[in-house]
Amino acid sequence: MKIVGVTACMTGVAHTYMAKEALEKEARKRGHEVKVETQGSMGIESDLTQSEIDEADVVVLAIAIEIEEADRFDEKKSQGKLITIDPSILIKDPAKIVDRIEQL
Amino acid sequence: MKSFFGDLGKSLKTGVSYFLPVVVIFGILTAISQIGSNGVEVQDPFMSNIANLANAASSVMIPVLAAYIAYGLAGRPALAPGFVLGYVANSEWTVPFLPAPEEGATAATMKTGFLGAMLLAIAIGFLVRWMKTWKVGKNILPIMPIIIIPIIATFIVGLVYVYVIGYPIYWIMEQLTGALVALNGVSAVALGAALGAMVAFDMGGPINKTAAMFCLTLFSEEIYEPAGAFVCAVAVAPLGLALSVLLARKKYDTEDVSMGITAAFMGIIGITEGAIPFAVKDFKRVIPTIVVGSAITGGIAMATGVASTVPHGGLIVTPLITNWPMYLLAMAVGIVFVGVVLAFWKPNPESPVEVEEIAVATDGDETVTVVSETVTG
Repeated sequence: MKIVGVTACMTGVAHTYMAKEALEKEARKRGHEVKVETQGSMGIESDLTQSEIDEADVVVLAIAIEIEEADRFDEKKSQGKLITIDPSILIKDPAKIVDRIEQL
Repeated sequence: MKSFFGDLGKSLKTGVSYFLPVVVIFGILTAISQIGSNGVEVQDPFMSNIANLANAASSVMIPVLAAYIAYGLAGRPALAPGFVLGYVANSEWTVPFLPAPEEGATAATMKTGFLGAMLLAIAIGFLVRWMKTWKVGKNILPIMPIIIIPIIATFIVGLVYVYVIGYPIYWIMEQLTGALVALNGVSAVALGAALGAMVAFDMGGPINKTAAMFCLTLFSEEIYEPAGAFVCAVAVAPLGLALSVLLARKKYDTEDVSMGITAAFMGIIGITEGAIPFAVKDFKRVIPTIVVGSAITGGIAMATGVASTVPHGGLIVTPLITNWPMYLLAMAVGIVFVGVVLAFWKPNPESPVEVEEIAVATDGDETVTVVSETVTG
């Protein structure tokens, strides 16, 4: 399955990137395709295009702050294919989050 | 109600995340401008230019905070009112209907700074969020976000501030700052210890940031000791954990050792988050130890008059700290406490309990790569 996500924490220096790594590791381990955009203090990096979002099965927003260009995910949200969590939860227990993604 | 507080928390964090770099400009430039001065007034013309740059940062930081808290709640239309009213909260404003408090003054004034700006931003955020749900005609829709919402939000929230809530906020703040200024002796040590404990408890999370915001608020009152205790305690958890790896190498595996190196580096540059991988692996031992260690450091720093004009901690800011020998000593005491206690407390790898620990530890290598990437990133 195809998973896309955005991570963003308050200071944008540590948790943002740790959450990205946690999600990518866990999802790849289970054979999913995954791409994660980071909105850290450097701004948006490895950005998701609209078509990448449209093709994805699930969107994961691991965000502690309001993100930029959040309207890209409106369609997925209305389809119920969007999970919003705190980045620290993803870092602590990526397996549980990916379990939830697979159930969607 | 739960989502109300969730939204509020998220928007405050959004505000802080944009506010932080401005504070760093203010803090570091202020500290640089103090080099070679008597600590009272900057006299050297070059240094006073640097001080003026810092002052510029200080006058925009509160508006930036307010703007992005409002943005966090209601998106772009809330940005402009947030900037404007953040500026209002942070400037001296004549209080309507009140006589001049003392002879010679022309009028009573209020300035609510950080706290007022936060409340205004929250008010703007919820007002704008509600205005965005208005059903308006096709002709009006395009001008909603650029004309109608910013003007109405600024007008309503601004006037309510000036005429109704501004002075009560100001009055409460006066009482609070009065109480904090009066803190001395034992109560100052307690404050330092509390700040230290908050720093370590969630390692860069909301509790840690609450302590940071508290210290930053006091900057505007020119009180720098709590910030001294704060920035001193910031380095204790990561450096203390690194020390415990060094002291009790046999009790840690190879992943832990490279995690320790990363933690040491994070501690030097003042990022408490460096302690997280250790805490995730061994919550019940690591958290209490680093909380106590950081509290000891905070208490000592506060008791010995360590003061900081920089909002960021770690070893690298040592030259910018008032009473830096005690800064280093207070930090060292906390680090040694954490290092020694954990070195003894950690179970030996041979014990049956440790089998479970190792099983967890093999997952730990993911955390290691993550953290080392964080440093380069």
